[in-house]
Amino acid sequence: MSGTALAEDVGVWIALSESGGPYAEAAGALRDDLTASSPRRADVRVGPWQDMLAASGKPPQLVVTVGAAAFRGLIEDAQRGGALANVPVLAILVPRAFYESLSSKARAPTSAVFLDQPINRYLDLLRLAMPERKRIGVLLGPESAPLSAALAKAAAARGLQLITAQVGSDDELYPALRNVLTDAEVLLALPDARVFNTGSLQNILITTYRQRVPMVAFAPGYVRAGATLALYCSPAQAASQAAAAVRAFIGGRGLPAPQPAGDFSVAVNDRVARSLGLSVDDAAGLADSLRRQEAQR
Amino acid sequence: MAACCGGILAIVAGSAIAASEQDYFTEMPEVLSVSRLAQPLDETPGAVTVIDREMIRRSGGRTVVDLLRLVPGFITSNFEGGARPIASYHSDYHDILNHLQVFVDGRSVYSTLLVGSANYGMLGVVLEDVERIEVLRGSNSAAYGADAFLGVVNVVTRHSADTRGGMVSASVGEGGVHDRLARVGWGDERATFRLTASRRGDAGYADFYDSSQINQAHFRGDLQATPKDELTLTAGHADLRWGAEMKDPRLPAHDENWRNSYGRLQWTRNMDSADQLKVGVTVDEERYLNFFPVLRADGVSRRTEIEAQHSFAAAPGLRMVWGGQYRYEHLISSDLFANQPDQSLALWRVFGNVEVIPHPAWVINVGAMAEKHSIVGSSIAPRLTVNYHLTPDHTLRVGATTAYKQPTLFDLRADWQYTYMGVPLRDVLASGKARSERVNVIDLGYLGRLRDLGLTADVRWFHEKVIDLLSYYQPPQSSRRDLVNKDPNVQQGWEMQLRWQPVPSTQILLNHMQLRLLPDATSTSPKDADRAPRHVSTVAWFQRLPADFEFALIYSETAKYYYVRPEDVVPAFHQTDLRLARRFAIGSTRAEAAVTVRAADGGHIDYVERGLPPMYLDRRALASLRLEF
Repeated sequence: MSGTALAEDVGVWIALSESGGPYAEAAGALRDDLTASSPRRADVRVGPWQDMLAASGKPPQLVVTVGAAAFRGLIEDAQRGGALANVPVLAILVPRAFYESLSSKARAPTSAVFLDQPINRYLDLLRLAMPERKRIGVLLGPESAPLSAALAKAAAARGLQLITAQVGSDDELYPALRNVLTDAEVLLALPDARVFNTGSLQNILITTYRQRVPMVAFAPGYVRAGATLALYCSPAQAASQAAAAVRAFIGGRGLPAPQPAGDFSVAVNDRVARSLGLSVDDAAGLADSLRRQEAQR
Repeated sequence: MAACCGGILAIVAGSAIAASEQDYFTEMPEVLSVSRLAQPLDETPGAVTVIDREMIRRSGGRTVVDLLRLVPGFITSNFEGGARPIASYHSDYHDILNHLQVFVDGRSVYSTLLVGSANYGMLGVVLEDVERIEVLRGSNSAAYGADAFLGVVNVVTRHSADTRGGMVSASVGEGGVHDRLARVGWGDERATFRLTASRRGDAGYADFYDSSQINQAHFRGDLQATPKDELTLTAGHADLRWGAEMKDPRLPAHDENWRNSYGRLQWTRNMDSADQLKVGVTVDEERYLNFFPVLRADGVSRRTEIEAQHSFAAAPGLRMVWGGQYRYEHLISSDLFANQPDQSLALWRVFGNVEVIPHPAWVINVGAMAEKHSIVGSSIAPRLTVNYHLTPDHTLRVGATTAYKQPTLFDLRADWQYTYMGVPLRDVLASGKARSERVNVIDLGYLGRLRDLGLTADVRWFHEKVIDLLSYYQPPQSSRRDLVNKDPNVQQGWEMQLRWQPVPSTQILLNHMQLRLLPDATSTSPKDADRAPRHVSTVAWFQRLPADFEFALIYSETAKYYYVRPEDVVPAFHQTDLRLARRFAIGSTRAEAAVTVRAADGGHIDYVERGLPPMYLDRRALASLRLEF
């Protein structure tokens, strides 16, 4: 292709929050994707974000941060006028709330591929998996509270009834859960560390199960713990979406606007589902149905 | 202690975390491990009907027996008047109905004093505290011991963490209905408690001296001692007083009284995924008092039970549960045991069950219980059940089992004699030769779900051969009656439950039982064929309406039958109960107001016994208000 001969390779650094785990998985997939096909060759470098900041020499044209710590590190460095202060940043494996709290402080253009799934998609999955359950309980904490209006709209459009409760402090969590479970037929867990964290999950799961209410969550770890379903974006899926954004950037079209997770995976805890008397399709079947449904829109 | 503080620190630390990908990728410990999960209905070794809290509330039922009307195969009525509701699964062969095992939070509520009947114990349940009632339709001594002769009713009360706050409720209505309840629940994430006080009363059947009132108080405390260890303490007291009219017109109507106090401590340890240990200790005391100088059966009984159960996964596809129980019963009654008022027995049990899943489509359960009774000796109750999933939504089940019912202390040692104004009222002298009753059961089941229609079906075909039934018998040379094993009897038939939810706001139950009693050719009671209705059908319709209104209709039809003497026939009848309720909020208080009409279609003869007028269950409306805050 003529493009490859036009200019030198584009430097893309992938800055990891931590080594291993989902960070390495996403970075590996992104690097493979970029080196396999790009309008211009990408010179990809992967490493811990601290090493990237300390690196001397020519800065890259784009930094992809993987995880929150790397993005925060880059932004704080930019505020101090560091070497990468003027390099555009694409953040992946970050929640929207986190990204938005920091992105305005950047000096260079930034964008992101969020981990957050669109609210519509959660509700569509619920309708596919448990069509008979129409009363959806949601606990909203400080981070998820802004979703309240979108939730209400999406639920109304699908004929679902929302039962929400606000959790402002840890003390309010269990009374709120009790209120929601009085009427809810399913509990939709949205990411918010005030509500759902390793300390609270055991009590929440046991309480919902005792009342025969399935939980639909946002991470596969929750399904292993005992949630019935999860809708999430895997590191590889995030990487694939990020690769498209990076290719656009390399192709000279700039960074696309921040975007919610485009692709998704579904996890099902079959044992919990069956114990609750639910007959839920397998994860791949649900994901396929959901994709087909979205494609028809 | 270290573990508890770790939990609290984790919660505090959790609150400090800002949103990050950690929310999505942190590994979570397995919380709902296999040992904490209820078995899916299509894998249970037997037919199971579950009545949940929502259905309990929406049915308008006041007692456990009212709810058993919603379970296929159950026959419900009252005993000698309207004060003591009774329930049996299929035909019970004993007018006091004592072939059903009833648990409340793991505590067997059968009456040592009252010939093993569990019907009094079922009255000592406050429905507002109940999370669900699981009914195992079919004999199951292999898992639950003797008394699980025809079936098991397992009442599970709500966890005290789910009933924090306050509740008051009241019902008043025709037929002297006056029910009151007050409940308070408190605690934190580690320990929660509940105290419930209730009074329930009504005037019984129309035109009959059988009014009753039961006052009761129950306590439940749950302690999460460590993330793996839970302690549950339950304790309570119930005091039932009712009016009894006598079969002989020369005898005055009078009051009788039953009191029960209990305490139970249960420790549950959830270890690895499928590994769970449960240990329980129960103490129970009963008193029966007759406010009438003759035909007394006064006494006191005390019972202590200690049991342990361990379940674990022995290998992939192989789960085991095994355990044991020791029970000691002590009974003092100079009325029932004139010769030797102080009676006792001890019982040891060991049981085990293996669940094998050789292939995802097959679930095989093999189990047995060995019991050693200090008076009647040993017995072994085996069971084999095979479930086959035709598809994930359609399951066939076949089972075979033998179950036992041991004779009670009354059956073995009774010496009960009363004469009043020349009328011999009771004259029983047990020879002590009574052996355990036995039932051999073969059953077939189908459990299916048609997801697109919102329909589930549960069908059970059964053949129950009951052997060595205990019955009164007067030897030719004696003036006194003995309790002896006699007449084998077969009950066979089928029953089904359809649950249909065509739209989310509508739920419909359709139950039907077809039952044939086939007394053995040698039977001394050939008319036992009519001891139970040939069919019982129930339709229940639960409907949510706009503006938070709810409606329920329960209609049942029962064929004619008798259960005391062949000539005491209860004619075929039908009964329609209606309920309209509205839920609303007053500030943060949740409220529900309801009107319930029992026998809205006019009423019927519900109980017949020689010497008593036919007892009429009449139309009765009542209004209820419940506030939760």
